Amino acid sequence: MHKIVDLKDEESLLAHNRELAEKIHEQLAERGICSIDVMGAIGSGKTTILEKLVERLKNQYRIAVLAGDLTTTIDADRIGAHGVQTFQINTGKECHLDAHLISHAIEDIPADTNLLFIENVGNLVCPADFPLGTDKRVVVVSVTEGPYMVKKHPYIFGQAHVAVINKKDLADSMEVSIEDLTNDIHGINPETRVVVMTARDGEGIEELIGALEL
Amino acid sequence: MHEMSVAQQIARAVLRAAKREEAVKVARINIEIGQLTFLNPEQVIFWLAELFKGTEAEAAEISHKIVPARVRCGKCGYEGPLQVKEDPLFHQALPVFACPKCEKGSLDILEGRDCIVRDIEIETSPDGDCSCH
Ligand SMILES: Nc1nc2c(ncn2[C@@H]2O[C@H](COP(=O)(O)OP(=O)(O)OP(=O)(O)O)[C@@H](O)[C@H]2O)c(=O)[nH]1
Ligand SMILES: [Mg+2]
Ligand SMILES: [Zn+2]
Ligand SMILES: [Zn+2]
Repeated sequence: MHKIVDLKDEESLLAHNRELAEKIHEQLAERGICSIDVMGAIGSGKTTILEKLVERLKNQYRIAVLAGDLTTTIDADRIGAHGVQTFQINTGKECHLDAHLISHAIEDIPADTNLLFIENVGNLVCPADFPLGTDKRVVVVSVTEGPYMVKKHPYIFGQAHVAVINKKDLADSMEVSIEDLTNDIHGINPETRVVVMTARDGEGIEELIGALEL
Repeated sequence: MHEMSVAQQIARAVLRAAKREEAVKVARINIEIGQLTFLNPEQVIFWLAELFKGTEAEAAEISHKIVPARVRCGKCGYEGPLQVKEDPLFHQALPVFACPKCEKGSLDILEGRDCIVRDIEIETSPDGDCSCH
């Protein structure tokens, strides 16, 4: 006998991640923690930006940083050197953080924390599939990745509150137009706030803090 | 990028259902892949076929359907497909994460972000007894 079995309501991996992300969002809100997920291309300047942010904000907020990386603690150490609580999340072979990893990591952050930054693994693809439940999502791209990064990765830019275009100092030598990149981002989501930075020199950091409403 | 983990979860659901229903064979598997996921259907199906080797789903015909994105606007209540616009330079369709009606960017994604098994067709008694062909 043939029979059709409906499986529509079986658990889906991606839906499961989103449900967990919602729980994380509620937990963080209850604990009074404002949270920001920093995503972006490999080497675009995520850690540099976080170093500048925590240096500038550490006297105003009690900050904790979760640094995602495949295997090393390099980024966590760099940010930790600024005197904020930093926690490493090694993803092993996974190319992104997921809500499950974050749900455990937030158990470890100090009770009095009121600002949480998460550095996602350098990747413009899967973090779009795996939200972490933060209040805000920042995506970092730099001019050294070339002029087409935004058009090639519309989903991650479309879902970001703030997009940073970093390494402005190199724009001329890379022959990349910051104006074009900005227009590409606004073409995908007119409400994404665009912040142009030379993070290495701290340029644009006040604009970023403003865009994050911190 | 996560075809294998997604396929593993689908395979578990299919084999669990097959067992629960006392299937002797899974004949067909219909999966749905959201337009907004970064999943390559061919790769999901490839992994499923690998995972089903040696199981009652080994010979199953696996087909897939792409589920288009549906969004809801938090500002004006628009509900419908995500806007796409043609990129004039590269002839590529770019999604626009702004409401097609009020042009604000506060869209909730209702559909198009999952990969699921919609249903499976099983055989519950050996082929010989089957009268429904
Ligand atoms: N010229 C220039 N270099 C920069 C700027 N910001 C960061 N860099 C350099 O870019 C390199 C990568 O920066 P990181 O901050 O480590 O980038 P990341 O995105 O955290 O990298 P991963 O975590 O490995 O993906 C470092 O050598 C930085 O010094 C900038 O504004 N201009
Ligand atoms: Mg880094
Ligand atoms: Zn990944
Ligand atoms: Zn609207």
